[in-house]
Amino acid sequence: MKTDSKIDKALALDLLGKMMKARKFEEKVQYYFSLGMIHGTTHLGIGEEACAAGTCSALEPLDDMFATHRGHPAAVCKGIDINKMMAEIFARETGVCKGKGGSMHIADKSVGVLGANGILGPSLPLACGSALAHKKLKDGKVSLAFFGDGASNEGAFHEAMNLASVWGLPVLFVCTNNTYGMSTHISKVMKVTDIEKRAIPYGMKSVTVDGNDVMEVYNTVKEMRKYAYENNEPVLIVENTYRTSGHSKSDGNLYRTKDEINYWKERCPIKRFKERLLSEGIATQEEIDNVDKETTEIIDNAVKFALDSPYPKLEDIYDDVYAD
Amino acid sequence: MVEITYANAIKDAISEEMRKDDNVFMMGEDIGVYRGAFGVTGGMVEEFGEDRIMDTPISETAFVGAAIGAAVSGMRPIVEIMFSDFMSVCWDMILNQAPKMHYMFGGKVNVPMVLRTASGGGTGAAAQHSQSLEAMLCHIPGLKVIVPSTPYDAKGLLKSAIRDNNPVMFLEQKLLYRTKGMIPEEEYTIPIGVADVKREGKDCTIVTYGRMVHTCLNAAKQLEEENIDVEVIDLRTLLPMDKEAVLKSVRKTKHLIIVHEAVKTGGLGGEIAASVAETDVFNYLDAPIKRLASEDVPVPFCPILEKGILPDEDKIVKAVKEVLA
Amino acid sequence: MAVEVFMPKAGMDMKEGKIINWLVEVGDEVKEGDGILEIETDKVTMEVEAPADGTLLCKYFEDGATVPVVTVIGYIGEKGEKVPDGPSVASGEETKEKVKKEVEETVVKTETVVNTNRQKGDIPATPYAKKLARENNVDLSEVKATGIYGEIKARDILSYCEEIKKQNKGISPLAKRIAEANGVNIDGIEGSGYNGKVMKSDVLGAMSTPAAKAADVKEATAATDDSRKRVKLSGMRKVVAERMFKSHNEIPSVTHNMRADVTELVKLRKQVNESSDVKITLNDFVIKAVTKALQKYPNILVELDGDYLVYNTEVNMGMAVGMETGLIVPVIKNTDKMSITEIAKATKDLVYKANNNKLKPDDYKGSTFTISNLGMYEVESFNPIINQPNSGILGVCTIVDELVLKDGQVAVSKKMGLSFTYDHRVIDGRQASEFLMEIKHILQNPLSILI
Repeated sequence: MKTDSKIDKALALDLLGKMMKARKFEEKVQYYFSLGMIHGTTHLGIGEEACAAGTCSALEPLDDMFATHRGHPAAVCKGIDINKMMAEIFARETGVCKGKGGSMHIADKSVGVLGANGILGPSLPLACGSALAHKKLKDGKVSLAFFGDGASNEGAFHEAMNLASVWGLPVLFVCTNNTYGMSTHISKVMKVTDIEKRAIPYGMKSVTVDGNDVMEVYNTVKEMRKYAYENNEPVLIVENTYRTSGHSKSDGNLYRTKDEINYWKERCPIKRFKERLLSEGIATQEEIDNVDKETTEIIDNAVKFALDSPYPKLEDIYDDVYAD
Repeated sequence: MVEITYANAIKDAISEEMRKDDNVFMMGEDIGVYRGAFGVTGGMVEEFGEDRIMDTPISETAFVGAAIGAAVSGMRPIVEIMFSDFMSVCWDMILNQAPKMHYMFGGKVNVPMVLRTASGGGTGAAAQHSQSLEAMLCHIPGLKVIVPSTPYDAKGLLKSAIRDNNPVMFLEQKLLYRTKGMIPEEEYTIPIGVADVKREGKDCTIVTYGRMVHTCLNAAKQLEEENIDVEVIDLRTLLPMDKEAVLKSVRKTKHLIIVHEAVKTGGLGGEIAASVAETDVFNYLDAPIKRLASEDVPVPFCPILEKGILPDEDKIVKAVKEVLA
Repeated sequence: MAVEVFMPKAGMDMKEGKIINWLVEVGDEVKEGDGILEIETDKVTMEVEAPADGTLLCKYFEDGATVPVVTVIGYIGEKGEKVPDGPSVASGEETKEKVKKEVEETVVKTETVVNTNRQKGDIPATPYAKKLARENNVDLSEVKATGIYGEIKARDILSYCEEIKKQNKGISPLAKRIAEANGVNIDGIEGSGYNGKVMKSDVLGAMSTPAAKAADVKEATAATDDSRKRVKLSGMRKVVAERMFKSHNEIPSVTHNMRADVTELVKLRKQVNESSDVKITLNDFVIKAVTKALQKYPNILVELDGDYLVYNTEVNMGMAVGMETGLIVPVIKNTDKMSITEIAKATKDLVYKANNNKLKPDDYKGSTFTISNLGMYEVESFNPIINQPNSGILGVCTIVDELVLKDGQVAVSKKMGLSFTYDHRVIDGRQASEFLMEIKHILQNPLSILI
């Protein structure tokens, strides 16, 4: 799918800002993790920002989004409060989940972030249900589930694809195909690696895009959202991209070469988008530098906010086990 | 008061709530024109239509997951799993999704759903269709677990479950579907988490739930003829459990027997016994605590064996006498 | 028909028990519930009670024997009744074992196991029974268990309390035996058990002033490879041991030795005894001499009570008496108000009582000073241990003949050794020396004793 030749400047700067925010957010997390100031584990999606920014920006603000364990960029781009998200990763009481969720469970229903998920696959059935609710409630929303190429081999993927199509649910299944399930290359675990084709037996519309081209992602998802909402139909969107960071903090990158990583670093979605904006005269270097500066400030402030926040109190552990 | 079956009490509870609240709907396998595997949903699709009584694909992960998704996005789904044994094919949803969201998302996402399922044996359905798996569910904070023993309790508790903002596991007792009981004609609910003293007594406390409540009451009747006065406590809700009711009773009777249909090892009997033993009520025990439960075997097919592994009236009578000896 | 007495199985894993000693002899009348022998398991020592009223007809095992559980060790029945020639397995148990299920095999059956005096911590009782026992001051070892596992149940405590209420003055069987064996009058004892029941600890408490006559020493050869004779400490020996250790541990004591010339005293005694009905011993003279010295030196007649020094006003003289089984210290009261003859009478009376088990608790109470006389054993000096709460004790040693220069002439002089041990916390060396010199002075000028 080709992108429009003329790019709206405000949209372009917004998408660039989101990608840079996501990138800088993760770089900070990586930095503080290596200092031992963030505990647990984190799954970074450095290199995949165009998928998150393009996809989430194409949704309506209150559409529901179910993310994966590699969910930082999606949450950032869906509009979550950056301070609270950073505080969550630092396990603070002011965190978006009160310090009880952490990196793998970032959620904020008020902006349609229905949770990163520590399990592979459930985002699809959950999004089916959410879409079913929107259809019944006629509230104008659709639901979207992110998942990876790895999760597309889970039973939940196939059950949800079938259910969504047979029930006609306004749901977008977005496969962030970074070609590795942890360390295992897609070619080792799938006979047919063209994930788009998995929609065919379920009678579902599907499309593949360059996941490192933010405009192409944005335009495609925008169009598919409209289609899903208007027709009460699910859509499968495959966004091909690459994770230049390791799977998690314990990844030694033994399964791929430096050359491969460097090849993809050259195709970095942020770098590419900046070059395009400059070459097509959509934004000036100064304007881009301003975005850079602003996003750096936002992330620095978020770190400061997190570090200034208290840890949750042990006596509050029983809060929120049950809803009132 | 009117007489009603356990199955119809469940249906009435759902129907009443569906009439009142458009956000309540049902999903499950063959719950429409087929009326559900145990006939609970008879006539409902005719009243509410296929949009609200939704037959699903045989995809438990998909439709239980969809129930959770619908719940977080504003609906109040009731999902039926035909046999509780099939929780295995959607276990991620029951274990990792529904009960965790409210807590791990900082209290901002509610999962108001009910998962109804047929539980327990006695039907000759053998090892994969007869289990009593409630203890596994009680090991998952964030879930609520209900096992009603009478039509009255089933209706009142199910209505509370539907209105509850948490995932509630509602384990219906297969052998009780056709049993009858009296319920009021006017609307009522029963609070979740409150046990019911089904029979007052002063000599020995029997704590039980579900189908075994009736077995225990029959045993109590036999013992009454021998001037032994047994108190039967029906927990009704297993999670959160009304431990105070148990403690209060044991403080009075000084003797405790726990009876359940689930296997003994890892069963709730151990939990209940420990709850007494770890409080000052321990000091009121005048005999060791006894547990009567299924033998630790898969449910066998042969009816003699199936009956043989379970607590029955004779075993309960004997246990009470031993405890009081 | 004769009733079996057998080695009870008093614990799930008990395989055998040892007979420490029989408390009754063949031919003795016993009442149901009387303790008839003491046994020892690997965990506790306990009594076996008579299972019925009657006469002990036979004993198959003697003291020291180790016997498998449920073996018949004797019979109780009517005099002259026939009993088997040798031990067997208890009949009740034999048939029962055939029909009992696995669980019940390993537990003690109530009707066959006689409840005995076990140590508190080892008595199986339900939590509720223990709670009731605590609340009512009931010693579990006094309660008969009726639980199916041999445990004491709440009903057992309640019926025990009911039983005690019916009695005017309760005393536990064990406490009673100890009191009887030691000549302790229980009337004066405040019971600490339920409803004022007198317990073993109460009797022992009454006896512990300062030491007492104990029951017979129980001898038993340990069933080990060690062939040395091992004798279990008697209650009296234990009390002595505890008190000696306590005194030795607490008091920084010093002993001064001095020798008094008692040549004149020996002569005087001879003269006095020639004309007196009551025979006066040298010891009586010593008592009187010490009494006089104490009257002159009240700083010796003291007791340390925390931060206070208490000055005693009466001289109550404790006399250490070595018995075969231990040490007792009966007290002669108010020797300061007695003549030498009265002291002699009182001493004789105490010795008679001691030898005939007739000492009462009061006879042990209230000493303010103590004398330990080893003079008859040719002991020349020793370090006596202070009898608390006294602050001093005088050891009296043997008299030896010495050649001395008297008015320029070599003469024979009789010298008596005096070893005075005192509590250095409250008495200093100077005071002690002065006091000891005063005793010496009195003994060397014996006429002053008679005045």
